Amino acid sequence: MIALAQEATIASRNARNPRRGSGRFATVSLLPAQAQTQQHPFTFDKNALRLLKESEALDRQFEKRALVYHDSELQKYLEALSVPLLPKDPLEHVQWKFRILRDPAVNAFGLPNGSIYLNTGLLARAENDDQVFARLAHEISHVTNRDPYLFNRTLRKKVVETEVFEGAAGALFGLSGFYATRHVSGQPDQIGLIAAVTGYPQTFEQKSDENAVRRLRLAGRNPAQLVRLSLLINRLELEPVSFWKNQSNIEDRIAYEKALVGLDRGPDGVSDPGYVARMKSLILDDIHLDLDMRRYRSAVAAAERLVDAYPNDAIAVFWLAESYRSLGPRLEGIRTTYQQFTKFTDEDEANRLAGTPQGKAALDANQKKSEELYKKAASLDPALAEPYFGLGSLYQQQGKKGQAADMYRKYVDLSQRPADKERAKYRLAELTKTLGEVK
Amino acid sequence: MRRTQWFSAVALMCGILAGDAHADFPYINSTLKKRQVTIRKAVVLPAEVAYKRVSLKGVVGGAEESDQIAGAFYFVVTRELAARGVEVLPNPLESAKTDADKYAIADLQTRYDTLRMPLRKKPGRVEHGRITLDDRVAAFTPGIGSDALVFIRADGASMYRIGSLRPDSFRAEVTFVDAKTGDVLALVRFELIRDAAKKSEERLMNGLRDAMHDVPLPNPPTKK
Repeated sequence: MIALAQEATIASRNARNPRRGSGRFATVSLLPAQAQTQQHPFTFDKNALRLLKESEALDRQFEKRALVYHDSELQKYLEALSVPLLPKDPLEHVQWKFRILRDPAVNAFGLPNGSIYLNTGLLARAENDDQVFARLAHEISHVTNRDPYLFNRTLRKKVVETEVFEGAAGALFGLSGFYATRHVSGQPDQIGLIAAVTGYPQTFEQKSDENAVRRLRLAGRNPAQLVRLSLLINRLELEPVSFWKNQSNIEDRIAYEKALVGLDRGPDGVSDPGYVARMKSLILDDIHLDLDMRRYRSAVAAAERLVDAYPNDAIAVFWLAESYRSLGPRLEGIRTTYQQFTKFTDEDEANRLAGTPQGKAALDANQKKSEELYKKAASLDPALAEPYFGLGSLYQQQGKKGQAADMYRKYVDLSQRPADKERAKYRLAELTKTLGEVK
Repeated sequence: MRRTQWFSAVALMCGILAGDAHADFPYINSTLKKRQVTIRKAVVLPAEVAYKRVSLKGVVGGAEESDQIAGAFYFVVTRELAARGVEVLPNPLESAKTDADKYAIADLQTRYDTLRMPLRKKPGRVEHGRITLDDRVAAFTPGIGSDALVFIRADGASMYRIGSLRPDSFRAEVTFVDAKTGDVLALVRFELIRDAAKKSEERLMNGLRDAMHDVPLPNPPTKK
């Protein structure tokens, strides 16, 4: 009881001042989240209700903008996984919903109204069910602990601090608002919601991590997979605009999680073929999103993973080819700086890099890989039209206009989609025009 | 500061205050300017607006107003285009039936947002035809048969009063993209100094009409 009271004091003190706990790790909690909320029933004031209303509006925005990924099988999978994690008694103003967000940023978050979102980027990079379970446990814990409200309340007491945070958040959203999650969540601009999406101060995160580890142990799952997922996030965010702005924060968090689980080195990955099979269509969708957002390195990594699992799947091979072609002169493993990313368009960046010796070498190597892969995809499924369009684009990039025109013709013959056919016909017409001029 | 500069600054301020809105010079692709490309049919993508209400205690919301302004902005753009002789095709989001149709719209909006960063940095590139969404836009089914896709973005805030002043702000931009090649044809921008959540249609229409004044469209601009 004394321990309980002490912990409650620490929790409320940390809630009043979230920075106070940073730098030292909070006492490892041995109490279930439910017990903590029972000790301190949360009272809803005007601001809390406003935050609740904003989170409901955010739910509607995600749905309205078609950012929610609909897959009934995956929905059932997430619901089944979360059953042992939910509190037995209903929480006031919480209705649990588990959704997948079409966003390649490696992230998950829980809104105060009980909507838990897992990004396609996170599910596509996770290796097994334990990692998803750990992440769900972490986010559910934020909601049961009422973290968005507590954090919002703390900051609202300090107007100046709020304004500073808003400025920072504004810069964050303004600069890299192209991630779906950030773009939409930047709109309500409620501090609690921003924190819910992009991360809370250290003390809040640590409490949720502790709860996640406890839940993993209780469910007979491997707690080391929580650390493994953080390592994956850290390693695979190769992009110029990383979702996690502060690299040192995530490294601190990995160190803390290792200490919590009792690991002295990084845990090994446990790749589950069943998990990859379940996520196959989601991974393909995520590759598509990666390519749309100029996240070519992530697209290559995801497509390679899929091809490793399904070496004879024509669609997986096609997407790997497409990813390598899009990667072009960009070097794998080297990040473009954020400044370059915002300054140059995709085309400008590629042209600039192709002018350097390293860029030229990377372009040649990536084009060679993509040509081989396109041909492999076409041989695996001769009825698949897409590899021919890819080959046409590749040859056009290389200045092989005649070969490109042949490939577009094949695509027009095979393609079943009128809109795509029009695109190929337009390219063919342009090419024929220039070929005629040459003759 | 020299007297002429003072005079210009005061005249600009008076102009802004007298008229609620301030339009930037539009960036127009030379192909559109020379009438090598004409916009007769267009698909207007749903507007995306980020609006917040700020009180002395910080930000107090704005999600509902964002929705309301987005609806009004979409309506105003379609009305102005129709007045300028452009046939506006149905709202793609309303005609989307399957998840795949809805995802296609979301993906296109995302691709525009990715392009928007370098576009904002150097908007002058539009005039030289050096900024493009590439011809993948041609595969956007609701856009088949149209000449241009129109993207609408805005952000703004309603601030707390400082004495008798209430420094509200609202920045809006409308981008026209060639529906076949993906080239950005025109970028128009304007600002409002009044609260965009109130009398939205009227205020947005004033700003938009000024901003689109020089964009070559089938009909000449209407008089106020």
